[in-house]
Amino acid sequence: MSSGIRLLRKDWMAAVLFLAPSLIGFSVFYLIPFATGLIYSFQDNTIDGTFVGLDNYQAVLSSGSFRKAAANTLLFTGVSVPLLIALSLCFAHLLNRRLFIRNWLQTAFVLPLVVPVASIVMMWQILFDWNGTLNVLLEHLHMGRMDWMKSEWSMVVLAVVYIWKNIGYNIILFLAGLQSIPKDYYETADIEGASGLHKWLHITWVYLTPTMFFVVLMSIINSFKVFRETYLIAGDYPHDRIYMLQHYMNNMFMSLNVQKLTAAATLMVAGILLFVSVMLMMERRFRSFME
Amino acid sequence: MKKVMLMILAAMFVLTISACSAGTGNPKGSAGGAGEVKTGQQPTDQSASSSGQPGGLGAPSDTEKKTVVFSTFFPNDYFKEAKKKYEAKHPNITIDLRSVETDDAHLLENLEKFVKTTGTAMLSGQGPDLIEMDQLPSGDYVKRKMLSNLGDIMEHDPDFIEEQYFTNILEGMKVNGGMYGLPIGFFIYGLLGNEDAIQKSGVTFDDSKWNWEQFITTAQAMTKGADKDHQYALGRSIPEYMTAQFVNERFSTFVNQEQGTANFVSGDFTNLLQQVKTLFDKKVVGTEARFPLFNTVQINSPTDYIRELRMSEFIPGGNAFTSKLYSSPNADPQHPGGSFRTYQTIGLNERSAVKAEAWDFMKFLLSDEMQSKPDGTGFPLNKASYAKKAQALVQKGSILSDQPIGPLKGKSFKITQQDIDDLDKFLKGATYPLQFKPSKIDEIITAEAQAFFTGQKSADEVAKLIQNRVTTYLNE
Repeated sequence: MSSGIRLLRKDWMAAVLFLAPSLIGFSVFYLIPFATGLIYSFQDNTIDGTFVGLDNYQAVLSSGSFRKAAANTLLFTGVSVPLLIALSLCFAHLLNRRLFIRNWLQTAFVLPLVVPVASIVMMWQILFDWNGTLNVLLEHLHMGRMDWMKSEWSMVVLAVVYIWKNIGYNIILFLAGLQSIPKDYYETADIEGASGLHKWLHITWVYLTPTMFFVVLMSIINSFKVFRETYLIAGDYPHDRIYMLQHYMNNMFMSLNVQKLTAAATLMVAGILLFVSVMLMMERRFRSFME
Repeated sequence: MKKVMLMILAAMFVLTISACSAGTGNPKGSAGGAGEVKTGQQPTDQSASSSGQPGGLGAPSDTEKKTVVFSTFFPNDYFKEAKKKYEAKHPNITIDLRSVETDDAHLLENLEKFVKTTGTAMLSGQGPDLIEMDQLPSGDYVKRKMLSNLGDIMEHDPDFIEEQYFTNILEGMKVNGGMYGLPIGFFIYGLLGNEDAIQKSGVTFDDSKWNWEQFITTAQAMTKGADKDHQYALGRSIPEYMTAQFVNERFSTFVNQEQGTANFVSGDFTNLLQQVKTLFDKKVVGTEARFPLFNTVQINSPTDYIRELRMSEFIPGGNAFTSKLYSSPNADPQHPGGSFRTYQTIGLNERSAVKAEAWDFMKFLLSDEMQSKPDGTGFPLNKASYAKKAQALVQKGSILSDQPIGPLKGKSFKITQQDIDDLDKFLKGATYPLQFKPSKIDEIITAEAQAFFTGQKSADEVAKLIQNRVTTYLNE
């Protein structure tokens, strides 16, 4: 018994040792700065600040630009993530069949992931600029030009960029998920005379759910990352349709307003925390249902 | 418990990944480390020495070892020399000059880094004691109360006699009654007019109080019937900048900073755009003008003034004319005055532990000993130094052209006392500071207005875009 505990202790020590490097890195670069930021968000100054309660939060929430940024971020994530998932699932189904150019297609889908951001930005600028390809086409059709990145369409452009860039990754994940579903289930269903839709709903969808949770989470993370492209294309004060939360935070940082910056960051974390907790709860429910 | 931890970790993961790509970095990480250099100082010393005069800084210590950190973006010989001389006089004080080594290829990148690291260092209370503010968002620094109010310090320092300096510049630099930087030098702006043509036209005007519109009508009257080369009223100006200038003249019409509203989608603004366009279309203003009646000029020094003024007398082909400096049109007829731009403005860190010494060094930078050096850029803030420089020029009687080629090569320009007297009026009359960097709103206006002047978009569309982006900016 006592040797068992000793062994356990030994294991525990080993685990801690192995985890230490990443834990230290995570704390130093993320956890501790965030905690400091959390403290700053309740103070009026970064040095010898006094506690001001929710003043900073009130300031952030009363800022029209912050509300706009939050709405834009929510709208972008809320629309483009489901769209991306639906599209990638469709493509994954197509690629799951025997296609003779399957490998080529898979490679083609994944390629956008490895292209450097600068090249992507340049390509999209060439496409959507005032003198860009798309406008030349419109001109030919006598439809008049459009300044894509400075109109309500800018978010659609962003959504297209986002889907184009991330679809390959999701397809790979879904393909792996699809291929791990045992073939016998389908065969049994065939023998029972189930329809295609029925099979999809009761076999594919059910067994794909764990993959789905992961894909949704990753897609949401990546939807926040689209800021990088936006910033490179449109700068720090873009058209207000694509003014995201990160624009707000970046601008607050540049104007040295740490109070608003940290308050906004804390609000964003709270939002994400809420969402992730709902997701994890759903997954747990699903797990217990499967068992 | 595990569940909660997992949730927090997941949320952190999401945030950090997105924040990472946002490029904001972490505001704590890059503090300049200026703090550890200042060893051997005791903050108590200051309060002890300044006890004699409340609000003042007191005399700098002349026994204790102290280090004043002075950060500039570009390395500068003026500061290097000041450091040498000051340290020789005060052996206990070290001036730690810091600047960024950069080449042209990495200038922008290094500048951005400099702005960020200085900002974070100041936020964490570890910034340099003295900072050259030219490249930095000084308005934000003032808002965050990072800079000392030099106005207070000056008031309580019997050694600092304001009248020794160009008081109009000092006055003009005040922000809400406080002064947060002292420049080593300044530039002035004006209009260089073709005096011959002005005399010939017989039109009279008062350049001490005219706005842009009056200027345009006057200049148009003067250029009436002139030939193709002389029909322009104003050269060296581009429509986008002129638009921003016009907006700034009536800033409150378009922007209400208090309420965070903009008023660009209005007849006022589209008319303004149209008005500027007409000026360029009718060839009243243009960049391609060969001999416009007026040119906007920036005057960097007495020598520069003479060169700008005399240059036109050497234009070959019978086109030579005499020039005269006039005041630029001005927004506010009640408060006439020219524009100036400060150069190498230095701020004092509010959190500096060696304020008395830093302030003493700042005074040294502005002393006659340093300011009367002939190689400094800009007009010196110190009046005596300026007078010396100007007198030296008059005594010399002429200066050589700085053009290495062309018709001006090897020419020498005459200087008289009259020239210097004329210039005096501008130096003492400059009261409107131009920011070293254009404001965000100016940037947005110039960027969007361009599409109108190139004919890509209608005035309404441009107005809407400016409205859209400026509103975002105002409401942050």
